[in-house]
Amino acid sequence: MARISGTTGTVNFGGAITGITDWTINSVGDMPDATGMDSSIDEYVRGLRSYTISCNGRWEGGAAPDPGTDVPGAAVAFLFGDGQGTTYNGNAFMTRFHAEATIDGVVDFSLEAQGTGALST
Amino acid sequence: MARRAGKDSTFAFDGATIGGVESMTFTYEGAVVEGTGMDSAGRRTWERGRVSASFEANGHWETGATEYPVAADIEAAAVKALKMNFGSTGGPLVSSASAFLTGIDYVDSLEGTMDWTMRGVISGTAPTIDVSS
Repeated sequence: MARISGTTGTVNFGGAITGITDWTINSVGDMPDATGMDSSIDEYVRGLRSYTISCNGRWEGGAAPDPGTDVPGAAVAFLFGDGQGTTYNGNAFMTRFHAEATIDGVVDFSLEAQGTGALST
Repeated sequence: MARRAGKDSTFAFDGATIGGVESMTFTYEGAVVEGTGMDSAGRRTWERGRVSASFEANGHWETGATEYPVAADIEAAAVKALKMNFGSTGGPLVSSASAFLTGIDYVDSLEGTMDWTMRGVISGTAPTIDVSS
């Protein structure tokens, strides 16, 4: 095994996105409390699972991301990769697109999306 | 495709390009509503909900400039045209939007310049966003 550098990550959200500086997948599973008076310690059962995805980057334009279509539209197929052979893919609704320009920097963007259905590797 | 320098961006409100801009942001959000049922195989499922957009810009006040919005623009009942060109290469990012101005801040400090911030919300019609260049 070896550590994996973050420098080779890739993002595809309805198309390949260049200029990415970081991406995140947050997968969570609810745990309903099943503790009873007969429990010697708290008990839980597996509940619903869900996940969100996000990424930040330098804006370049191109086919993706396309907030004008994706924010009001249907779920978009995505694929996040580490560039070392591991990928995560699924479908997600874009829930937030943010662009920022500052006089002493480049144009940056961020997007957030709510995954729906399975998150596959 | 290429990175875009922020220093070459432009911000226009009510048809006038605003001078002295130091930074600007555009946020486009689409809510999701949960549609999970007991037939969803244990995974939460979602559908598209309400969509909203907002903007903010700030910069340095320029003496004699006539393009800055004033308090009357906040009270105005009509939306105003918004155009935000992010970066130097090619077309605008937010090329067409109609927005209400919701706030203006004026800040003057001993150590700095006379600065302003304006913010607002897009209303009624989805903005046209050009991502092709």
